[in-house]
Amino acid sequence: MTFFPVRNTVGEIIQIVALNEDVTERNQAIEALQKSEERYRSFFDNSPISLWEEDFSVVKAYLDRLRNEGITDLRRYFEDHPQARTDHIGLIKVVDVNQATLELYQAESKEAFLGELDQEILSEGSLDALIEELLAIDEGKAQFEIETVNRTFAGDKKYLLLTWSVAPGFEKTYGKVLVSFIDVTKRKQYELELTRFRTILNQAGEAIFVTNAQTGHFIDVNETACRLLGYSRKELLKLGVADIEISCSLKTTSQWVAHVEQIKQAGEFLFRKGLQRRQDGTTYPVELMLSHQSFEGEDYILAVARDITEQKRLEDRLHQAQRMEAVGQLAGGIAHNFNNMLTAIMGYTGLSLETLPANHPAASDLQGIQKTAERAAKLVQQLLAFTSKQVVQPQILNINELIISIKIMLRQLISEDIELVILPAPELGQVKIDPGQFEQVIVNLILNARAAMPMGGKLTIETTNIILDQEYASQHVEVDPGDYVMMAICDTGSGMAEEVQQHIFEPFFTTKDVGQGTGLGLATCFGIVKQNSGHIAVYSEPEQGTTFKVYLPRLEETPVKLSQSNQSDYLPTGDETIFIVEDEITVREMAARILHQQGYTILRAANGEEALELITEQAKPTIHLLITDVIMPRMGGGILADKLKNIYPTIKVLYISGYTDNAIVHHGVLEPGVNFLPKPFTPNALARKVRGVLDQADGESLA
Amino acid sequence: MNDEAKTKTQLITELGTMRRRVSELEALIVEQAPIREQLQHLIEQLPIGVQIFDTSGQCIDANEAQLRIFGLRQSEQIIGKHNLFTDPMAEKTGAQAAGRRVLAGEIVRLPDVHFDFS
Repeated sequence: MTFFPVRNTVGEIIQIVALNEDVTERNQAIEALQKSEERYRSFFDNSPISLWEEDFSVVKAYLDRLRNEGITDLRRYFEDHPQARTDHIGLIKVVDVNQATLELYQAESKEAFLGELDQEILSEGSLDALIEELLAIDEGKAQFEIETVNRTFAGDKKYLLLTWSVAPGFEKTYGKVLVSFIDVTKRKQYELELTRFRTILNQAGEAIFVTNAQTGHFIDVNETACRLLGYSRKELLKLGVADIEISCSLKTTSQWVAHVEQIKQAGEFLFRKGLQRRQDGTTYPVELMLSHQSFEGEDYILAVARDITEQKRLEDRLHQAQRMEAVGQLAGGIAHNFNNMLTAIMGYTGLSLETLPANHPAASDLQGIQKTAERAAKLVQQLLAFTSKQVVQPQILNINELIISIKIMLRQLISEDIELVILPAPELGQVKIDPGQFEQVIVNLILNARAAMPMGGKLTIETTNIILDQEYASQHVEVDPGDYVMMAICDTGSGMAEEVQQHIFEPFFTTKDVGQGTGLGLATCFGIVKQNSGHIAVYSEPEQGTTFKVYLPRLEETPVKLSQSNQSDYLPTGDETIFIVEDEITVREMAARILHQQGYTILRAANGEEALELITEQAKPTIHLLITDVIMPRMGGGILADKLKNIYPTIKVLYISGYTDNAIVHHGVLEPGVNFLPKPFTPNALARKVRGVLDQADGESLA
Repeated sequence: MNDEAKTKTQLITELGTMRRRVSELEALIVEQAPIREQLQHLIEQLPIGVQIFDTSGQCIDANEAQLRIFGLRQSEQIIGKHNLFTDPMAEKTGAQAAGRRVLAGEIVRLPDVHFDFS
């Protein structure tokens, strides 16, 4: 309210004027403003979010000055001048902070913040964010947001979302900026945890698939899954189970629903084998662990798939080895019986031939029988070799010497249009093997190579020292790691397909026409190498030739010189008493007849027990030699020999057998000092062996 | 010279002059009427309340805004009826004292006063 006087022309006051203004509205506006101010203050003070009022005007001025000085690339400037960066921080003025800020930074009072920005709360990670902040001010941005890391006054690390906006009216000067810090430490920790979890998932050896239980589409997959299937993660997430799983049909909705139901019914996990298809169309076997999961009302199928290609390969090899073992046992049993029969056939044929005049019409027929029986005997011998039950007398030898000694014979085996190259390694290690057996291996492999090169080619025999390491052994279940001598026989022939290689060492497996091969050649090699703790491997590609590699354990012992046995047609005779113990009557009688003809006195028994009874009854007859079968019912040859040696300390023993167990041999290898004649045998072989054993001095054995 | 001493001719001349003056003044009044009217409208429509008192404190005029401030409808409600120096409310608000100071030649500003007419 204002009062003033009104004067007339001579200056006398004639009126009083009152001026009144209605200030209700103005007062209301002021009141509203005050209330708003209070509300803002209350909001600022009580906000659960850390709020700061800051003054960037000095910083802004400083930045402008840098610009004026001609600095165009501020980012680079700050990177090059770390000190300038920290100087700028000091120029930020803190005007006010709220209660939440004290709590966030574990500060005791506002005074800790006000004035120059406290650099103590900035950690190493926040400096980069600060550069961005300075650049935003330089660019004149009214709003800004960035993630940063600060330290509290207690030293704790906090991940923060920093946001600021310039107060209206301060856009040019940056004199008033409202800053907020949202604590995202927990979120960040979840993120880090999630990252860690994902890293673990990705590095898992198994492929992991998370599938939508309704649609069968992949929701998540790990890196192993991508790698195994050859897809990128993005590509794989567009696909579903039906696109990669081919072992069971999941194409239709009902099939998928049934599949999911089956997993649900299984309880915790359903284990299943499957076959998955890669992007390039190739497939691989997997072992699946499936489970049904519910999360936030959604149903998922979690599948963990393990590539079992390698496991399956090892299983297959094991099955193969087991099959070979089974076939071997079967073949061994058959061979035992055959040997007895062939001994009789050969023996009686031989005896008949001796009693008949040479020009008798039946003589040539008998010779035919004899030849056939000998061929049959060789076949049985090969079978036994395969079963590793052939009785052998291994020697320490250098296979280079052996190969060279039979080179001429090998040359004769192959046709003239095949070039034979022998590459013996110098200083080749020694091996322990029956030379006859090793010869058989070479011959069989050479014959195989010859068959592969009907149009001629090149055949290489190479030897070398080699170490088979743990890794090789883990790939080949049947191999022990160690030092080996290797012989490789390499041809340039037709090669073999993978399926053929799979079965190549099985007996009676042959690619030759019926009647062309026995299918025992490579099986024999396999058996012989196995019997000598070795390993045989084949490498072949169709049309690229084949290489067989034979590995035998390397020894450090010196080899013995190969001895040549000389055989003559002369049948030695004698007058000693020989005790023949053999359960197979044909063999027993045949042997008795042969030896009787040669002048020996013969005693006979069908088994060990019967033999011992005979001796007590006849009051200890004179016996110079015991010929006994190894395996017989009611006391075998080994025990019998031991018992007789107690009665006759000087008695000689000759074992005959077509099939041996460990009574006199270990794994088919004769113990030292044991005399042995393998069945089937000819009358000549028997007579010669008997004379040899009778003539040897005590403790000496015939090689 | 007094009028009785004037000659008839003189008087007639004077009358003529007066008649002319009157008609001149009449013309002036007519001429100035719009200006007065404008001033009246101006005062009447000022958004600020204006109340005019004579030296005895008697209200001789009040504009629309003043009436509104006091919650009145017609100027008759205060003109000739409201006296600044006798109004107890005016005494309370300090308006009376202000009036006296104005008569002494001062210009007086009073702080905002709250009138509750409800």
